[in-house]
Amino acid sequence: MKIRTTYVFFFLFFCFGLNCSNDPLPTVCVDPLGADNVRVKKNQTFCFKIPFSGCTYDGCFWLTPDLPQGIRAYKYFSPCTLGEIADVGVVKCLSEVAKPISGFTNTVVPALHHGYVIRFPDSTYGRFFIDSWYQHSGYIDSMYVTRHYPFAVK
Amino acid sequence: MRNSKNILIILFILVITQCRGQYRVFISAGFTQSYGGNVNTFLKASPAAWTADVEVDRKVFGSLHLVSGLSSYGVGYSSTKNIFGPANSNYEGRFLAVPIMARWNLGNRNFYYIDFGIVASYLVQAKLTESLDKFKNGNLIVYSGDIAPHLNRFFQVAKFQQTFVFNRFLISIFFIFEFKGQNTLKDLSGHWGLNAQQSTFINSNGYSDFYAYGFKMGCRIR
Repeated sequence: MKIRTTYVFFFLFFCFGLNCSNDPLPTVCVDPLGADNVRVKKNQTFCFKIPFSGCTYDGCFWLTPDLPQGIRAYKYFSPCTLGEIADVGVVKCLSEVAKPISGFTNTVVPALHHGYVIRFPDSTYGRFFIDSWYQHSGYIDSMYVTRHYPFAVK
Repeated sequence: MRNSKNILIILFILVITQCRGQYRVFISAGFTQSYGGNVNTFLKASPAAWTADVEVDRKVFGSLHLVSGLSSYGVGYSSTKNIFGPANSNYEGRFLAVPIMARWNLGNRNFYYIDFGIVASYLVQAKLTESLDKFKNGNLIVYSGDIAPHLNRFFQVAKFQQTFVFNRFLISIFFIFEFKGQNTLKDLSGHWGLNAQQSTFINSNGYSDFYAYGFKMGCRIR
């Protein structure tokens, strides 16, 4: 009888405590380390480089206010850095944004869940991903962007 | 250090299997409260987790007994933010463990036992739920899952236990602590939706260096 009680206890162990999981979780797309998240409003700039004397906003891009809206490289003052931007298409997250062979330009059309690579004259690169946005009357009121600078291109 | 511990474990197992003394079987259940991790999780107490033990006690000589058996205990934490901003993180780990302990039966009166030894623990479940308001716009993203396959699963833990016995019934209080230097994380990155900056669990290097105290009640069945 007592031995049976022991078996029952062991059985309870297996029922309540030991439904051991060995199924691995699927691989997921995770933001790279060093990335940050910003909200960019209509007619607002977001910048990638550290400001310096004579340039309060360096390496910036501007979400233009008028239709058709664009994301345009923006030079705040003459000593500031003017970058170029390329749309790499739909990606799952920022980590999937890789440097394109070509396609760098001054302005791109913002698109949801698209990744963008930016290039500066000093051969440094950055990237960002449009995670979500709020639209109003056909305008992008604000967009939520995950960005990463600098990132090592392959 | 590790070799000496392994030798000690083997020695205990040999002694247990070889000794011919009388043996007794105890069953007990109770609760565990744990602390651990680093600055983000260390003082984040988890809700009490249940614990259950089957202990087999063999007399070696005098008032010295050896205790082994099977144990299941839980650890975890519940944290609401990390240094990178608002982030909920709840972790519940459950171990299956084999204790190998020395028991001192004070005065051979079977009233008060002091146990101390090593508990070889296997992580059977590790439920992690984390959420993050990435853009601080009220849009909370929640990640949840059993991450045990992506963690190291074998741990060595020390246990100190005091037991009061009244006829066949017992009440125990115990304290367990994980030996230092045992890394929890294995290959969680890439399988978890948050990176080390965003995840309290990863940022805390998993739930390493935990300790726990607990209470349990039970009875002797043999």
